[in-house]
Amino acid sequence: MRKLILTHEFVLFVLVVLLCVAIGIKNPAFWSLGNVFDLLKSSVTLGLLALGVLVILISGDIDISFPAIAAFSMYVTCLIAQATGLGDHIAILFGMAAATGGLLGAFNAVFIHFFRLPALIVTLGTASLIRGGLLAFVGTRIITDLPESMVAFSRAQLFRQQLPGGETIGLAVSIFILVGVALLVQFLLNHTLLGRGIYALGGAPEAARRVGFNIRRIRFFIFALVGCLAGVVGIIHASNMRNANPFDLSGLELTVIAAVVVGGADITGGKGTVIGTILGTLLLVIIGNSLILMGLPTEWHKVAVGAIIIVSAGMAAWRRRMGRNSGRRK
Amino acid sequence: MLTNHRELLVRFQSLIALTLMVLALSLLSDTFLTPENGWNILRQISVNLCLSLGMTLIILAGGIDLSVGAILALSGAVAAGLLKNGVAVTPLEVQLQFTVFGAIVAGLLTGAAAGCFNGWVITQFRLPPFVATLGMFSIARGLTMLWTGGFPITGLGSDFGFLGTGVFLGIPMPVWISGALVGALVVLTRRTRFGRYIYAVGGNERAALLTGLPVNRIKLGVYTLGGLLAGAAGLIVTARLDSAQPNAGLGYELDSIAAVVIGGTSLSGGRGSVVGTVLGCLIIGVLNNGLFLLNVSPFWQQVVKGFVILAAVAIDKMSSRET
Amino acid sequence: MLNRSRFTMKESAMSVIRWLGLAGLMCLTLVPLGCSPDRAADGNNRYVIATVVKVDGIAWFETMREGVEAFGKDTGHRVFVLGPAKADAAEQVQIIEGLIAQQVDAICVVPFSVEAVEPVLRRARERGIVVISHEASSQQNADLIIEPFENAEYGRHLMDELARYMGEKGEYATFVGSLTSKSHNEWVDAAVAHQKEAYPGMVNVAAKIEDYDDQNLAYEKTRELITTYPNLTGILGSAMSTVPGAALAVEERGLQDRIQVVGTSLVSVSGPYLKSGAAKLISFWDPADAGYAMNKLAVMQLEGKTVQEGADLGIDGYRELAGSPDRPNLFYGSAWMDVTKDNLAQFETK
Repeated sequence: MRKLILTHEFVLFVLVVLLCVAIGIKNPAFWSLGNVFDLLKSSVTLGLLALGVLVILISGDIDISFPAIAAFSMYVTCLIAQATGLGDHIAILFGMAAATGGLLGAFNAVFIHFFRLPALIVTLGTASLIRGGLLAFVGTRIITDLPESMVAFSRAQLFRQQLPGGETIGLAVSIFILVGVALLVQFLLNHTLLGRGIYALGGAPEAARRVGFNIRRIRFFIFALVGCLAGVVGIIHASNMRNANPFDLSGLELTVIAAVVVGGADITGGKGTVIGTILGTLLLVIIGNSLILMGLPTEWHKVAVGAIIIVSAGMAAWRRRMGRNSGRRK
Repeated sequence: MLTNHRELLVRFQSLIALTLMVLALSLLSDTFLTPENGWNILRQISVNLCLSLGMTLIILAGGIDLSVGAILALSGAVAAGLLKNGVAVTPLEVQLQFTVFGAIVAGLLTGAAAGCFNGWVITQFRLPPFVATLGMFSIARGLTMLWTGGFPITGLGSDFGFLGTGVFLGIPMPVWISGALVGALVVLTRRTRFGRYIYAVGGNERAALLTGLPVNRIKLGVYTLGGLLAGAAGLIVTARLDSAQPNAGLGYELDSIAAVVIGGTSLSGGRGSVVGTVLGCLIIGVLNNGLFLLNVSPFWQQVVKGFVILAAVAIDKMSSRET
Repeated sequence: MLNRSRFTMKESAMSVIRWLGLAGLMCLTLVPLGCSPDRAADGNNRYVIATVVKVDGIAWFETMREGVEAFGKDTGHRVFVLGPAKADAAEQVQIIEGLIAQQVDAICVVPFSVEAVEPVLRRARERGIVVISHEASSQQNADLIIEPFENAEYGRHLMDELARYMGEKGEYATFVGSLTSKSHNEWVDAAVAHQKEAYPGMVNVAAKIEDYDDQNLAYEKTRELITTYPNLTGILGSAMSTVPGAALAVEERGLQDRIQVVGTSLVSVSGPYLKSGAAKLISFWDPADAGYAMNKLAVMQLEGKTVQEGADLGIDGYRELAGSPDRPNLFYGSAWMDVTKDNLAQFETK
């Protein structure tokens, strides 16, 4: 029991609940079904990206190119769909975008693995290449006539309810994707050899190599995974917005990394959980989407987020030190 | 002898690249080799140079700082706000008016304080620098919005504007400032004990600790200096624009990391130089300027920048692996 | 020892070759681009006029580019449009500095921040370059300022329309792109002041929500507004992104009959919502015409013609310029156009 209470995830969970209660007291409208559905929908894109970044952070690397990859996959997929009419089924579009993203992610891995370059600087460079290439060669115009299947996808809902005032609320079907991916990543990390390899690589790369993990395969897999997820996010974003704007999705990288770090992942590798990442995402989404509700000036948003990052990372560091001390005592 | 040759060549790689770029551009554009354009380039890189100098020290010490762009905005806004409106000391019921000098000092102190906070969190709570400065990035941006209310602070007067737009002895003020800072940091890294300690900490922190170096104090000093230099950059930007823009410096942290890396400083710490960073800034500045003069779309510039970053680290890595 | 030295010599040669390769590659990428028109003046009575926009590539300024290029084709002057890759006041200043070094004849600028470009525009004018500015009614260092309309009047117009759709009563919210965008703030300030005077039945419950020209942010903020203010019946948008973002949230909740969305936008992004009824009215001025008008003014100024009230720039919306009582170099067109469901078809290309 004591062990459970001391986990980062539990503390975070309590924090999320307290925050919800506090906002709910200030403005009961927070608890309206419509708002809860809205918050869940807003968590989808951030959450998917955060899960990808979680895997990267656990392996001890970093990626800041995924927003550029998401925008690139989104725009190129929509262009192809527009030109060929290949967008009858949303699954094809998701497949195409995920493949594009996966390829770009693997491109990152080539540099990082074969040239042994630091991931931060590689993805800084490729982000500039990919976004610049998209805007310089592919196009800057917003695509507004998206395939029907994307519009239909954004309208698809799990529940729909008509409120007395004529208002309809519903839970977007895209939440399924987040739940599905979260379960997959959870399974991958905890129940497969690959998952153990990812933790091992982040904890002690040299040891991981000696034990016989195929570092190259693991690296390519995780960077391609982030790319795929970014592609999926691109399609969800374009569907939600009903247009594909190549300027969109920029500047997301630091927010996403913040969500993962708040969720208890260690930027130096080897630590992090799916449940923590989801809670971290929820925390940031709730804060970002409740300022009007609480009647707070928007300026406070960033200060609060920064403080949460430092406090939660500090908490993790403190627990690490405590753990080491108690270990020594034994 | 020959080994020395080789070292020289490795060291002058970026200088060679820069020379080739200058040659190519002067052939392609009539404007490139004019004195006015030269001053333009130097004036334009001065902000990134200030940030990159601080970033060099931080990266040499084995850290990283994602908050420099945000600190730039905060320091500029604080200086501008104090200069324009002063500050009310409520218990004494006085409105303190700031002179230009006072505002400059306040802006620099703001930057140093933010940097010091970074260093404090990193050394005392053992937070990874990436995370601690990510937090500071968000906090400084938020504080800037709170301080300015989201509106730009304008009309700062020509005395303050001189810092950004003035010319002294034929040389623009931002170039004087960044040049002086370069000189100071070259001396600091090469001639002082503190400078040698920075390399030692970045090269092997454990060894530095075991030999009895005050590692935490060195790191604290490095981050504080980084913040101070970001503050100086903030003053230059604010003076140049004659206004403090709440969104100033967005994305500048990545530009300065790029300049440091192109200048041959290793991201893992302990290896690199201030002069290299100056060359890195020059390469980026000449590139941006050249592509602009050739009427190349700004998105192309992004592509080329990404390419140069990748090429620079790849080449650096390959030559260091050979040694 | 000897072996080792030879080895390192080979290696050092390699490293130079690598850099040469890199430099060569870069030159290769540059050469085909070097053929673009250079910006120096030639002696054939043709002026070189640069139009500097806030951000390159986005829909609004791509349309402006069309207008500027049309002017170039009509008159034979060398015209071009350029702007920074991201919305950053400092980068816009750098571009203008570069244009001064290239000694262009005139600079037309749509400033990201009016104050931030003042020092560099002063320098340009000192060097004899004609400066025309747009969306910058408070610009000090400009030869001429051309506004598509008077901002306060436009704000009042938007409020009149919003009030009409809202039945002159109920709660409404206002958006701005950001608090730094001057014209948005002037529209909203005038609109709210007008509402207080003319429509006492309406209440402004949420003022100047920022969406940073981001449609997704406009969408999320609107959803939050709907939750927070259950009696909200009107939204007034300023940035291009507000109307489509807000209308999307309204449509998703099925509230198009209750909440009226009115604001500045383009048909290309807001057209579908006008059709579906989630947005009621959008208003805009054609950036292509504005680009044309700016360049026309630049040439008039360069040729030493005086621009006076009533001047005709030969393009719709700028056929009879209005002056300003206290600023002799500030002129207004009457260039705004309203688009609703009914006249949408005429504006399909905007």
